[in-house]
Amino acid sequence: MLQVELIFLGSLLGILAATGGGGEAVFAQSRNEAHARAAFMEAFKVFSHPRCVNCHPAGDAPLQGEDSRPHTSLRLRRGSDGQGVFAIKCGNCHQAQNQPGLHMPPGAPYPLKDGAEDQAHRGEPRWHLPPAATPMVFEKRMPGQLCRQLLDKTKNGGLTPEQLVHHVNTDPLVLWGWNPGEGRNAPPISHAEFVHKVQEWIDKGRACPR
Amino acid sequence: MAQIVFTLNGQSVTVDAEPEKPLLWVLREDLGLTGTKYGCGMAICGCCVIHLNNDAIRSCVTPVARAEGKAVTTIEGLSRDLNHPVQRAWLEVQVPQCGYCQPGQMMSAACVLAQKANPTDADIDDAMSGNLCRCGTYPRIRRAIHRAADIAGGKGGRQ
Amino acid sequence: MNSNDVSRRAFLTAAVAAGGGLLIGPLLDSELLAGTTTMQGASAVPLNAWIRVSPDDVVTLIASQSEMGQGVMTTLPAVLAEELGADWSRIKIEFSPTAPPYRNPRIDWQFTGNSESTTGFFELLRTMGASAREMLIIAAANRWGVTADECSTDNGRITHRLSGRSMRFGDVAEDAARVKPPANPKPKPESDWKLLGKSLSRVELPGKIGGSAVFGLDFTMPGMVSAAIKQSPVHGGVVADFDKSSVMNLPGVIDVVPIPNGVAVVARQYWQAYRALKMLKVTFQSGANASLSDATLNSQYRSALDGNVWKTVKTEGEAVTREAMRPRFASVYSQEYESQFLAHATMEPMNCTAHVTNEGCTIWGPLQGNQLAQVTLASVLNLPPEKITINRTLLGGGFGRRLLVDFVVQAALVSRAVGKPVKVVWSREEDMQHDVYRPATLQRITAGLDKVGKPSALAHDVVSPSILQYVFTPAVTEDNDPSCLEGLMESHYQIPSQRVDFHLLKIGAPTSVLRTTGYGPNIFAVESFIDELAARAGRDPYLFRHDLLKDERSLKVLETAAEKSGWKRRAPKGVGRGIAYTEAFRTHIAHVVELSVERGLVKIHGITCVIDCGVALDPEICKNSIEGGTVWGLGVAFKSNISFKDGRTVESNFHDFQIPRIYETPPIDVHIVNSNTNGMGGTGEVGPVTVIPALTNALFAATGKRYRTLPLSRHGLKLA
Repeated sequence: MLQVELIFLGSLLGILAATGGGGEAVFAQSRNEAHARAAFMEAFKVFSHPRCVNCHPAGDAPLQGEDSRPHTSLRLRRGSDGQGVFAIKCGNCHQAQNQPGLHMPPGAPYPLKDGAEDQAHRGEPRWHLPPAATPMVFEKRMPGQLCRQLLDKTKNGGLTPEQLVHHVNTDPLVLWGWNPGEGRNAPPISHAEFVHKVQEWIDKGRACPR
Repeated sequence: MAQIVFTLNGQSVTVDAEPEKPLLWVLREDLGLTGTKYGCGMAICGCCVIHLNNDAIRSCVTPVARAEGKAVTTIEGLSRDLNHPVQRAWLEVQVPQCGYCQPGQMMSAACVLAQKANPTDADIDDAMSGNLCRCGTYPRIRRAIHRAADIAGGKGGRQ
Repeated sequence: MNSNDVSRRAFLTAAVAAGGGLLIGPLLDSELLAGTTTMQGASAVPLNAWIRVSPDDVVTLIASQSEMGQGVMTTLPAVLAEELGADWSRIKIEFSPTAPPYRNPRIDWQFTGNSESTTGFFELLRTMGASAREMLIIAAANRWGVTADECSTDNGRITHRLSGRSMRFGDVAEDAARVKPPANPKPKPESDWKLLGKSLSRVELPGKIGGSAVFGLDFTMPGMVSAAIKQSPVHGGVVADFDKSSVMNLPGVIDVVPIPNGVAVVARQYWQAYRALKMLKVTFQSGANASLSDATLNSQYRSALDGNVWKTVKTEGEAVTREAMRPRFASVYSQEYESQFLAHATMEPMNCTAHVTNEGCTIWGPLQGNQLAQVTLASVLNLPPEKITINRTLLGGGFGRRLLVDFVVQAALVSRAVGKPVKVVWSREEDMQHDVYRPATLQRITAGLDKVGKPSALAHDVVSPSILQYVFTPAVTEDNDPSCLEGLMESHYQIPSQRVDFHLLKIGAPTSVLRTTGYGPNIFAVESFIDELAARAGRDPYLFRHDLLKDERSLKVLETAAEKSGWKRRAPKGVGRGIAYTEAFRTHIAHVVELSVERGLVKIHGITCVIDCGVALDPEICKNSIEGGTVWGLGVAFKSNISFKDGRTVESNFHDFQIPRIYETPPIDVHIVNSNTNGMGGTGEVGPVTVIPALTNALFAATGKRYRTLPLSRHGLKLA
């Protein structure tokens, strides 16, 4: 973290130095960029938290636990749609809600449809990894890398920045991170704060850390 | 309590149960089908695997409410007279030792075969990694899945 | 012990007294198995305690041994059927009651375990089957007016060879039962075997494959209720207090009753009891073991090994002590080996159903120790043993855990308290944390070596808690437990001076028999040490062992293992092969493991195993058992481990007590070498014994590193 902050600070100073006697617009932009980057770094506390990293792995299988170890000792595979394969697809164990007790599978439902429960998927879990073509890896990502990845429509499932905010605001899988079930920690800032920071990052020009 | 209606081994059933009651215990205690087993209660051993529509789900963590309107198949309903290719293969290879984990093994295997008519050894490694066998019959399970694929003749065990 | 003369009268007495109405074991569900309400019971005629024949020609064979996957309910009745000449396709099988005719003749005690179902009963069943056959023949010969030696049986019929006349067993059963049992029944020559030595289709498999098989946890009966139990989390602690009212209003809950060291919530259904138990307010008093931990245990073991409290249990030749070796031999070499605590973790957790009334107590459950249960319940309930009826279901694994009777006593006490039949079920967590564990052992072997590095003297020190204490108390003394010394008292290695010194360690963690009992840790130590001596002498480990062995069967098994594994072929770079041999449970066994290691990941290319168990009565059952035992051994070697902290077991389920999975299972090739029925051995527990040291020896061959403590996960090694 410290290294990143120094880079950020360095680039900020560099920008300030470069503006020299320049226009207010440039200064305003660079102030916005600084805000955007700062907001992203706050949001990054969530993106880099095990609750999120575990289902945004670099490899083909989900991770588990505060230490992001391999998921139990099953040999899980992402599958092309991210739903798992064969007899151990994600939804074969994970339910539409957390199951009570320690070490029990967490769960999340389908998103609301037009503001109401999606009848076609009533009681069904929606628990999965990103699909193979767009794995949206968080694991071991540097903030700048992740930031650019989130904005890249070829990598983020075709989402516009506004849709990205909507996703983190409403998607049940994201919301789950703050209701993770017995024995699991939530990310270090609240969901509302997280969404606020993502929105701020977008609003302030969605600049990425280097 | 709620009324939950689903198809069980081809027959419609209506169960009065708390919606959050695990399907495993509904099957075993309300419906008297004890072929599906309790091994761990946390979805890690695979003894409780049944089919929900076409998926191999772990009934020990699945609320019975999830079965509403769906087709549940247990080991008892996998076939009549043990003639599902997986069961025929299991008998031919004489897979079971104590046999307690085997309904879950067979239900997982049947699910695999329905998705891929000729699973490779790597497929079997992936697909069956969630089914524990304390007696260590894994070499036979592997042989039997290949044999089941032969018996099914490329039709994936669909009956 | 000659079962022929001593027990024959007893068997017949039991059969006659029962009047053909031998207590019938219910719950067996395939077409081959007798049902609860068999009406044949009324008219079926017992020829002895093991065989009944009905007029409609159904032969019922009694299975005395519990079925937990070893195939005994097929193979041992097949011995009877073979001798009888029965039609195997028309037999029915019934579990025996708990009664004297069915005791293991070696120790006159009825139980299933110690890999001695076959060795214990083989000769007895041959005799019983032959006796019944001769009675049938005599009866038929009388009816035809011919002599018995002109008749023979086959396929359920008695035939007069000369005339070709034949009749069915059922036609003559009643007359046969009145024939005086022959003094010396003659078992069939092995060369005439039609069933034994072949692979039969296991009788209970259709039920296990179709889902109708009834394990203890599946048992149900009218009026039965269920109980979920919780015992003191600290080993040996007791309940301080519980508040019934915290759960009595929950759906289905009937009562909350105390059990030894714990409490039981009783409800109409198990899931209701299980859920209520989680809400029950209960407190415990820890007691003496409150600070039991891996650290305190390690300290105890270390003190014992370093101390001087020893019992000399074996001396051979000069029995030179470790201390006396240095001046006597060209060199002295010593190493320590450690094996870990293990849980049984049977796939079916502990459970039992009991119905206690004023008249008596009836039990249905997955028991290995049915006589111990009967005797214990008689004492606990203050009833005569005859009033305790034990019905055995199938067992979802045993591995020795179900030789104990704690779960049986719980069921009986709860039933008595609520006045109904009660099924007690342990959750997986309860099962894991209240197992009675395979004890850890700490061992030291010291050898005095000659100029070429061959051992002239061996001194073996073993520190172990008791194995038999709860299961067969008469064998255990204040300072000795023979099971802890298995594999060491008689060694095939020709080493002139041998001694074994033992320290029976008293610890706060509960310990008992578990698959491989003493052989497992002891042979891990011995076969590792011998391998180390071979390496020090610069010799091939196979040839080094070969030179130390004399017994023909030992050599044959070792040589076959080397041959089948391709031992003599040069191993490619980075690939290591390890070998181990022993005789355990009277079976000769050798394993060869071939592997390579990369960054802590161990890729096993293949495992070869050769066994000589005398004559494999059913080769497929035998192979399945050895394959499975090999897989079990890989788990013990790599990852299974029980640890203790604050008086409690740490592990609680399969996420932390690790056992192998299918993708970690390498190709396993089992070869059976048949020798002689005079040397029958057991196979249920023998598979894991040699695979573990063969594996660690292979790791040495591949990497140059010796691993002397298990599991290997402690050393950062994982199965690829």
